[in-house]
Amino acid sequence: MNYRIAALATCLLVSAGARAQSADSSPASPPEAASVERGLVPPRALGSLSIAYPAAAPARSEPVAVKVLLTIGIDGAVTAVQLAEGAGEPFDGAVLEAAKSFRFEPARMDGKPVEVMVPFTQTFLPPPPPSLEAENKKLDALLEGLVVERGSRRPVPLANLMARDREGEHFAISDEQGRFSLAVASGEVRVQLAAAGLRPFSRIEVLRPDEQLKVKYLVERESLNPYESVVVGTRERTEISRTTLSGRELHQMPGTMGDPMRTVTVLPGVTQVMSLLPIPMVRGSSPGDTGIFLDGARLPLLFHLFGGPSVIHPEFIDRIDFYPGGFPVSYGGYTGGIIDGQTVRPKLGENKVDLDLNLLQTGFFVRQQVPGTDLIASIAGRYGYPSLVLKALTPDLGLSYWDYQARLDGGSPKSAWSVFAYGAQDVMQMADSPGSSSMTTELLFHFHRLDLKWKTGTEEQNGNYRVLLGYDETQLAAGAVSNKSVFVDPQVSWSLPLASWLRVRAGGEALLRESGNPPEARPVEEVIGMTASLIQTSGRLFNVGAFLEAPVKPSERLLVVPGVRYDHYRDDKAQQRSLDPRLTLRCQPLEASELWLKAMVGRYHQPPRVFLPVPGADQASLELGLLVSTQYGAGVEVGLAPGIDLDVQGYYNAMNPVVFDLSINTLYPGQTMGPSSLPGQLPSDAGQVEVNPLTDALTKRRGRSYGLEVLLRKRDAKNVFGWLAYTLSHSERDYEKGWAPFDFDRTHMFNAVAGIRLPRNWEIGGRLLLQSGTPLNTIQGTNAGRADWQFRADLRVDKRAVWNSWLLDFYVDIVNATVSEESGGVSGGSGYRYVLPTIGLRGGL
Amino acid sequence: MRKVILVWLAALLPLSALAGEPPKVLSEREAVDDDGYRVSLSMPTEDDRAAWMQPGLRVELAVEEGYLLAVAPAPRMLGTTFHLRTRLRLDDSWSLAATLGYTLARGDYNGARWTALVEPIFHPLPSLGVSLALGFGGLSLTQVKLPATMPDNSGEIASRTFADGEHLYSCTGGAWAGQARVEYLWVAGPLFSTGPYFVADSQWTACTRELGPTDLETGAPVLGKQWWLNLGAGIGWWFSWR
Repeated sequence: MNYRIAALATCLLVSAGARAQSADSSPASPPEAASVERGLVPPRALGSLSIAYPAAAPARSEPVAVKVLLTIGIDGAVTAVQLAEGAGEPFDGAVLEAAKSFRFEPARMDGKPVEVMVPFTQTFLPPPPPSLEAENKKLDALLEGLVVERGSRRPVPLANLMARDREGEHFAISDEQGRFSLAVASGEVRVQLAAAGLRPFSRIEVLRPDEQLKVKYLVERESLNPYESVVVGTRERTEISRTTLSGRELHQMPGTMGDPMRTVTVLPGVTQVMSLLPIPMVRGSSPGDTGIFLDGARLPLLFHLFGGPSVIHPEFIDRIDFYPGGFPVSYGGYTGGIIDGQTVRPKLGENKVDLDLNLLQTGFFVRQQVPGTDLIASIAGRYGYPSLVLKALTPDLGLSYWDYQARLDGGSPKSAWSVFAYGAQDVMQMADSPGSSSMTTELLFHFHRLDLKWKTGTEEQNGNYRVLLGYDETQLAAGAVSNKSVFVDPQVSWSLPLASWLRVRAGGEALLRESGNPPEARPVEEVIGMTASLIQTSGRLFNVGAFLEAPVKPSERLLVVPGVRYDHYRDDKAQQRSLDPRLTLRCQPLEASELWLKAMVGRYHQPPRVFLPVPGADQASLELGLLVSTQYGAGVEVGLAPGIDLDVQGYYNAMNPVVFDLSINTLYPGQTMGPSSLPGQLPSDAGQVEVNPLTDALTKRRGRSYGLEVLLRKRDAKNVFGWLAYTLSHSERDYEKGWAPFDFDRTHMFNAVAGIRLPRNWEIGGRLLLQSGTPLNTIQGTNAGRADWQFRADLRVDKRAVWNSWLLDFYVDIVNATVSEESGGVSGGSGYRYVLPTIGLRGGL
Repeated sequence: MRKVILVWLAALLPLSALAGEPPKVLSEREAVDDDGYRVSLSMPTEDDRAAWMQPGLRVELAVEEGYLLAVAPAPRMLGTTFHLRTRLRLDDSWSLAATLGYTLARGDYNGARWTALVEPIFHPLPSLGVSLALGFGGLSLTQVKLPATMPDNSGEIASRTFADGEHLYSCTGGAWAGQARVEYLWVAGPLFSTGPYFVADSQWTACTRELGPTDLETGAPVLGKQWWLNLGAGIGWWFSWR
């Protein structure tokens, strides 16, 4: 017979009480039967059922009740305790633990012991109100108040306070709101306060008899970081080579000047055009082959001119997803890698003010809930004045830039919308003559975006709808080459679970861009020759793309992700189509292990693009055809220890064709790639005719890259983050007479990054880079030699000063602190040395 | 005027050291907020000077005016140097520092000098530090007044070392740097201190200059090389935070 149900139906009300700050509990009430059915004798307590007020518990002004269900066995022992209605820690834990030691005379049914479940309520009584009528009449004053964290103004719960007066020592613990109350003797009272993670606090108060003094103690944290890592869940991985960076890894990476978009250059598989031009080159592909996105929308310009920051304020970027290859079908139009900066939907009540001032720029960021609504507005802007520094070196050069971002978030988590407007401008001017104050605009980049988004549903099942509107303008060669364009880019995607093991993700986009030269501009052919018409993007572009992906999870240890993408590109002169099938596998060979094997194969197409991202020049003439790459990859991920991961990947990319390869070493017709046919002389010395650089850029070639990437990473969990990254890489092009290294190929790339958080709000970080030199032309042939190895050390120191209600961040970030030489990368060309120190201040509320 | 101020400062600081500085008390910011609470910060929980002797990290910025003597074939040079130093206070007597220095050099040659030094520091007195530093130093300099006719180096086919008598019109390169330093510590609070220092300086540089032609075997520029040694001294002022 199951007596549990019967016993519950005839539940016994058992209760006990405990008073705060006293080991004495109220007398335990003997169990009373609320109602007893015939034949059932309820259990009877043997001894006290009192539980002491938890020592670590805050003082409460109201009684605290914790209800549990006790399972009392036939021997009278409590065999299980189940929380029925908790009051939070440490009260719940105290009851659950203490109740295990209760002893009862077992319940009986018809005289036989039976197992029963009974409810038990423990009531912790509030402490007696400290007042002038306190038990000890000598305590004739009252000190009450709040303990608050200095800087953030957050209340500090569970802070231990001790007041020492002429009568002795008195203790209190702050509650969840940081409140405390202490009855003390009048006169001089020394107050000391301690709590985990806080610096020691000491005060001397002087109270008069019968005085009630209200104080607010501002206590400083040992370490306060606005980029605390918050893990909100593990994102499902359906690809093999995504690396996600967030928190301090993004905002306090040495050598990046706090710019999140620069951090990818420290990851495996990535090099950059040059240190001062941090355009990423991924797995041996040209910069134009790697897509730069913001929330899945293409960014027309990644960095401001000449090593400036990225065009989006860092506070908007919550994380960076980096795919060096094998990226999902939702990304189209690229054959290299993908860098996607992700913004985050702000939380209600999340207010923030950030001012940034350094030697090169001034910026601000403000986030505020719109009063009386559930809307959150975020506004940011920056103005850069690198000319102030540059004029000391080259007075005839003028550089300036600005950018802005304005975003409004509304709706609910299940139906969220946002309006995001952003834009930027870069201007480079040259003096009309040396020393002249009259300047001419030689180069101008300018763009605006309006991004309207609506997401409905949950993480499991959702629909995403977006319209992106844009304006782009580029002027080169003092306006001789000019292009302005407007576009509209609607996008839609859905995610739908069809079964517990099958999900479907599908979507599409359509891009319509109208562009053309302004009537006052000179014909571009006058400037850079006939081939320029292939680069020019005047006219109308219409691109349509659609994708379908179906992750299949036949077991918890196997994930298969087949996908396909179709794109149709059309301009005034030609149209092109592409179909890209892709397949990814992830497998956990050993149950309950931290070992994953992974593999991918996929095909990738993209329209031809100029070497570097430029507003409005997202696509060159389709008469050149599409660039194609077939990518293969396999690897292993191992969790070595909590927070420490090892990721090893091998890859092979077959590129056919490549166009618009970024090239710096001169080519000569007929030059051999192997042993030189021109012993003792470089081709130029032999009087050979160089290949026109534009003709070289428009020549279709085969390319291939292959290598191995190793990433040993310590995630930002507490005080230390960092990684060791090594890349073994070969990137080659099939020139006329054979394969030779790509101009930016680096065989070995080693990066070490570490950031350490120290007491008193210090943080120190460093980055070491060691990599092979780029190829050089020699008498042995094109790119047969190598420049010297490159070493670079970056350093960053952050000090956070905490004021009563705001923070002031002082930082020093030094790029190439050892002024190491970097090769110019061109045969016979000069190396250069530089150091780029940035000293900045950031204030935040 | 500047000299007068420096002399006064130099005179006052040792006097205050002899007098013994009383423990500093933080100026407390107290106010009553809107809810009627009196807002209070903690009083100092330790003596300021004792706080500066506690083990831990300090970060320092310094500015220095220095002079490097010419030791042939190296030229003389004046320089204004900016230092960034991270210092680890180990105990009452010892600190260990890593110092980066960047100099704007002027004189017969203009350009830059940089150093990266490791610096054990001994504190014979709480307010005094003596250090010997050793590390890497480099130069990137160009002669201010170049001759109307530069030597023709077009015939050079490979890099070579110049004799001391040969003139290098520019120098880029690095090797060793060493310094000896005496510093004074004036505690201005639990988190900030400052003071003057005197330094004896040395720089040993493997100079190179690109001569123009390209090395056919390697594709790299042909270089002229020469060793330069400079010795000198400087005076500076440093600011430290803990």
